Formats: sequence, C-alpha cells, structure tokens
Amino acid sequence: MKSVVAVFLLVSCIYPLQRVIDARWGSEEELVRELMYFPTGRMMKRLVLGYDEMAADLVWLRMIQYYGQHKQSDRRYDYLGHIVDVLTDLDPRFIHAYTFGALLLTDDAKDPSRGLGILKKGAEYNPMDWRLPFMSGFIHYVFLGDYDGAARYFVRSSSLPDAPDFAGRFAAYVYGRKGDSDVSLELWSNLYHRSENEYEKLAALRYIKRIHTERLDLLVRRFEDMYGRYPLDLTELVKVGWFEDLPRPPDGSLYYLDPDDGKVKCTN
Amino acid sequence: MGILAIAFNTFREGVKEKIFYAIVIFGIIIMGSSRVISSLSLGEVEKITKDLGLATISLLGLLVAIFVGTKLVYEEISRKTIYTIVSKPITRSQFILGKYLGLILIISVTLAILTGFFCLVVYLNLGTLSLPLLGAIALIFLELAVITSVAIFFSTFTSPISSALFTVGIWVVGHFSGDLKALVQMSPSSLVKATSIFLYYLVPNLSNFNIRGEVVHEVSVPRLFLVFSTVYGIVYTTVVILISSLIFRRRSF
Amino acid sequence: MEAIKTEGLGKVYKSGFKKIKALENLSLSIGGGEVFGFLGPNAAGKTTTIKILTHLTFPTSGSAWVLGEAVGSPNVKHRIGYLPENPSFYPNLTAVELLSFYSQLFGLSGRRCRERIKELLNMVGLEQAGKLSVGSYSKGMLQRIGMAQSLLNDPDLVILDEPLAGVDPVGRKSLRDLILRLKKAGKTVFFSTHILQDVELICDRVGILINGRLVSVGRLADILTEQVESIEITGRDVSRDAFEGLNRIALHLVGDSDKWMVVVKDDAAVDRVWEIVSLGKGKINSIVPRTRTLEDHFIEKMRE
Repeated sequence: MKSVVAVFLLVSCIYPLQRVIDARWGSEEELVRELMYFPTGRMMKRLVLGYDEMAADLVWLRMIQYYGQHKQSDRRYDYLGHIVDVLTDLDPRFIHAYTFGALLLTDDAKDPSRGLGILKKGAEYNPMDWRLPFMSGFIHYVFLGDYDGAARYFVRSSSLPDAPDFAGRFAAYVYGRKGDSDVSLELWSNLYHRSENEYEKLAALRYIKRIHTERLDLLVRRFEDMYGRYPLDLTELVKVGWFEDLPRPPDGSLYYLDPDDGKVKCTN
Repeated sequence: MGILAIAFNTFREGVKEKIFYAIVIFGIIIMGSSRVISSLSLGEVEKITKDLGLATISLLGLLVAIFVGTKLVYEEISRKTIYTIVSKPITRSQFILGKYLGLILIISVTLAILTGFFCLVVYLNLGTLSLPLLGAIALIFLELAVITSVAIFFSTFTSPISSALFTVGIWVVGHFSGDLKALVQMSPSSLVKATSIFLYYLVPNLSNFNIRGEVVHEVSVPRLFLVFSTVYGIVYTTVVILISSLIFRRRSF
Repeated sequence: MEAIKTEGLGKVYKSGFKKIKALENLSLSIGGGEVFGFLGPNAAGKTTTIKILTHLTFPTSGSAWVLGEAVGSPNVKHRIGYLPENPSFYPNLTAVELLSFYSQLFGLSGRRCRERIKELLNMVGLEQAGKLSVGSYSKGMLQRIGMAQSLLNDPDLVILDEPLAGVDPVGRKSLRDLILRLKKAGKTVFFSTHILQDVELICDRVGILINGRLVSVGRLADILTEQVESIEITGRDVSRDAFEGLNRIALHLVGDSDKWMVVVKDDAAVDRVWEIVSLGKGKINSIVPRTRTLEDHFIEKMRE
C-alpha cells in the first residue's frame, strides 16, 4: 500500500516539474535550432528515408508554431526563410508551403524579395501550377505597388491549366485600373474566401478592414466638408446616396463611427 | 500442401505475438490522431491525413516485417520445433517458402487492418475515398514483400537481433539508392565508384515503391513505371528467397 | 533390405579453432523388424548419429542409407518416424491441431486422417488431453505426443532419441509395450538411450557408442553369456583368522568378522569358503551366483 501511495505522489510531481522546466529553460528557438543542424533541406531529405512528405508536414507544423510564438512576442522571424526553404526542399510539390511562406515572409517578416524568391523556386519545380505566379502577382500589386509586374504574373497564372476565372479577371483589372484600391480589396477578398488557412484568412481580413475603414474615414471627412458636421452614424452615408449598402467585412462584424475620436472602427 | 501448412502455421504463430497487436493498435492510434493534428495545420487537413496515414502504414508494416519476421525462423531453430518438421517429407526450400508466405500473410492482414482504418479516417476527415491511395498502399505492400524476404534471408543464418539490424540496415541503404547513384557519378575514386555501383544494384532500390508523394499531390504515375516496379519487386524477392533456400539447405541443426 | 546402414560415418564439429570428433568411422547395419538399442554415455555421439539419419545434419565422411535409399531422400522421409530428444512443439496448439499440422506435411488430410489422429492419441494415452494446448503438457505427455507424431504416417522405421528419459515408471512401461507392439507389427525400431535396463528388457540387438566410436555391437544374448562370472556369499560371526583366510581367496571382501560378504571366482573357491567358515565357527547366509550383466559389459567397454 505504501508503494502505491509513493507512486501516486511521484507521478503528481511530474506535471509541475515539467512546467517549471518549460518555464525557465524551454525555448521555442529549440524548435528551430534543430532545423539549423541541417544546412539544407536536401540533407534532411536524405535522412528521412523516403518519408519526405511526412517530414515536410512536421516542419510545416513547426513553422506554424514558430510563427505564432513570434507573432505574440518579438515579431521577429529570423529563421522563417530558412524553415520555408527546408520545407519546400522536403516536399517541392507542397504548393501552400510556397504561397503561405511567401505571404508570411512578405507581410510579417517584411521581406518581399525573399517571399518572391520562394515563389520563384516553387515555379521552377511546379511550372504548371497557377497558384504560384498568382501569388507573385498578388505580392507585386498589394505590397510592392508594381502594377506592371503584377499584371504580367496574373496573365501568366491565367494561362496555366486549371487556372480559375478570377486569375484572368485580375489580369484585366490590373491593366484597367492600376493603383486602384478596389483591386487590392478584390484580391484580399478573393484570398479570404478561397483559403482554408486560418492565418491567411486573418491577414486578408485585416487588410480588408483596413481598406474599408480608410475609405469610410475618407467619406466621413467628405461628409463633414459637405454638410459641416460629422455624420451621426455610418448609415447617414447610405442616406445621402453614397452607398447602396454599407460595406461589411466578410467575418460578419460591423463598421461604426466612434464618437470619441470620430474614426471608423470595426466591432471585431 | 506442406508449404501451405507451414505458411498457415507461421501465420497462426505470428498473430499470437503480442508485438503484432501492439503495432497494429499503435497504428490505429496514430491515424486516429490525424484528426487532431490536422486541426492544428492551418487547413492542410487533406495533406496531413493522407501523409500521416500512408507513412504510418508503411512504417508499421516495416516493423511487423522486421520484428515478427526475424524471430520466426530463428525461434524454430532455437526452440527445436524444427526437428520434427525437417525430418518430415518437406524440403528445406519448401520450408523457407512456407515461412515466407506465412509472413506475407501476416503483413497482408496488418496492412488490411491499417488500410481499413485509414479509409475510415480519410472518409471522416475528407468525405471521399481515393483510389490512387490504394495504389500507393499496394506498392507499400510490395516494398514490404521485398524487405520480408531480406529478413528471412538473414534469419536463416543469424540471430534475431543481428537479422533485425541487418535488415534495417538494408532498408536504410535501400532508401539512399539515389545518393548511391550520385556517388557513382561524382566520386573521382574508382573504388568508390565500383563499390557504389555494386551496392546500388545489390541492395533493393526501395524508392521504386514510393509513390506516396505523387498520390498525395495527385500527380499521375506512369503505368509503365508501376509495371516495371512490380516486376522488379517480384524478381528481387524471388532471388532472395532462392538464395535463402540454398543457405538453408546446408544448415545443420 | 537393411533398415539402416552406415559405412564409415564420421562427423567433425568445429568449435572455435578446435575440431571435435563427434563420430568416427561408424559402420552399422540394422535389419528390418528388429529393435535395436543404441547405448552410450552422454555426448557419445548417439544424437549426432540420429540427426544424420533423419537429415537434420550432414556427415563429414562416410555414408548412410535408410530403408535402402540415401538419407534425406523424400521417399525415405515418408516411411520413417522420428522422435527427437526432449521434444518441443508449438505451445499454442492443441494435440489435435499439432497432429493435423504434421499430417499435412505428409500430405494426409480428411476424415481418415482425423481418425488416425484419434487412434494415435488413444494409443499413447492422451485421449483426454487432446484439446489441451501442448504448452501445458508435462514432460511425460510431451514424450507421448512426440511418439504419436512419429507414428502418424505408419512408418516402417521408427527412430527414437532417448524416448524413455525423464518418464515415470508407469509411462516407461507403456512406452516399452508400445515399442514391442511396433516390433510385432513388423516395424524396425532404432532407439538411443543411456539407461541399460530399457535395453535389457526390449532390445534384440545392442550397439555401444563411446566417444564417437562403436565399441561393441551384437545380439543381447551373445553379449550376456550364461557363464557364471562370480559367486557372492554373505555370512556372519566368523573368527578373525577365518576372516583373513577369506580375504586371501576372495576377489572381493566387504564387512567385518561379524557381518561379511565375499565374492569368489568359481565353485572350487566356494568349497574353500565353506571350509574356512566352518573352521572359523561362522555361518553362511546366502550364496548367489552372478552372471554377466549388461552393466558389467558396459563398464568394461568404458574402461577400455
């Protein structure tokens, strides 16, 4: 009986012990440092003995953890490029690795050239996949303001097999309305609706809301100029005929006018 | 008829091994967890479900082939149950063949159980079933048939631990075959070249049986490749079993 | 046709760098229908001989034939039965399943086969234990199921390696009876043992193997002559002088003047003992002539 009690006591110590260890000495960098032992994904490919795709999935999960942890702390993603490199070396056909990796590198790590480099690498392995040039076009338009470049990529994307209609539409948009934030809005909405990736959707939502609120702010000021006062609420903008319906972000939240500072905000 | 009796008896003994059940249950648990794992994957449910399932089936099938396979022949000899078999009208070759077929039967059952569960998981997670997945599993089976023959080969003359180590070694080198070929081309030393070429053809080229990446990414695999790989697998296995029989014929007990 | 014939059979094992001669120049001939006992101390080479005959191992020199054919030919294996020493079987199978399995190796199946299995289990006294798994069997039961599997194919020659070792007296009697029944049915039985009593009770001929060499072979009756080897006399209460006198003529003397036993060579010596004992005022309790036993023969051969 005594030994049973002893076992229980010792087992119940394990949980708090591990928590202390994790708190004081656990480091998320360890996750990534493992990867640094493999200078290239090609070397890692050798070591996984044919289970390349599975290994890529594990690296993908690590990447998500790495990104999540740094987003909530220092917002520095120093190893992100290397992780995406290893990931795409392991499974060169993993298209989302390229597109999502490029988005994170461009948007969060603020390194669009690295992001585009990844997409170029992806296009070398997968020349017939429309999603890679499409993402390149996306980045060129939204982040770099390179409308000609964007157009070229969208055209290329739309010419590839299985390319969806919107690829061609965007190509046309871009040629017709360079610099228009409508196109950016369309691109982000398109991404939001077709992506199954939580983080992509969040990023898209963020940009959609920003564009919407910027426009609404502009309109609020115009209203002020025209009518000499702030609108009581955003529905006034509808009443004066500037909208048929107020724009709403795709997550169902609402835009409203904050009486404290006169700025347009979002309920979510 | 003797061959079938040995095969069936081998099967019966093999599925009584506790490790067989442990491995199968472990496989089911891992595949079951794909639901949870893929929920953390930002939308890559399909890829992870398929990758995890195929990798699990492949790896656990390998474990069964090695753990159960290397034990079976050796145990007959060490427990001396083989005395009353070899003295009966069954040749040593028939004995080896029977053992091999029994092992293949065990592998088949393992694969069938894991595949059944895999299909269930795929259906639950993704809502559809995909025939090419079964094609990848068929090739996994072929790879296991080759490795099983290697395991039997070693177990005709060495202990289970050594057999297991050697078989794992062959399996590892078998996956390095691409690098072996590269060594052949790149190395200046003719000794290294010669050794690499020799090893490349000697050791089974297991990447011939790996179409998991193609299947998961829905890339089509040329039919001719499948045919050649199947023939390669059958020929290689036959050669190894023949050599095992030859060794076993001269074995004293 | 001889059941077993060997010519110059030899087997050398390599153990590390040493060479061990397990068998040397064994030439043996065993006729059909006889019960042959293969005697010898442990590690004499008996099991090695049997393993060669049953194709479990191969000779390094010489040749062996079984039932007129070279050892190991499939025909031969159809006609022999073999019980190994300390037999072991798949522990998870029942006796019936085990015998079914072996039957399949002979190419037997079906109803006749099932009946034969029942018959054999009865013959060896395992009818009740047929449904139990073999792993739970005692040593005696294992010997018996081993016996049963060796008779599945109704063999002409039955080869048994230490069939009676470790079996209780009742079991030994029934196994001995079984062997005699086999002989009556015209089969040849070749068995090895290191227990002399078994051989004396049932064998027609005996071979003695010591250190891999056949040192003696022949009919039991020939080896054990009727000749009186010595006479054992016990007695008591003799004078010390008489005791000395006994000592002088005895082959062997134990005890003291109160209680003694003397072994003498022949009848003349017996008369001398009578004289000494009467003069010494002693008494004689018994006089027992001893003929040569197999044990004597065996020990003599061991000494050579």
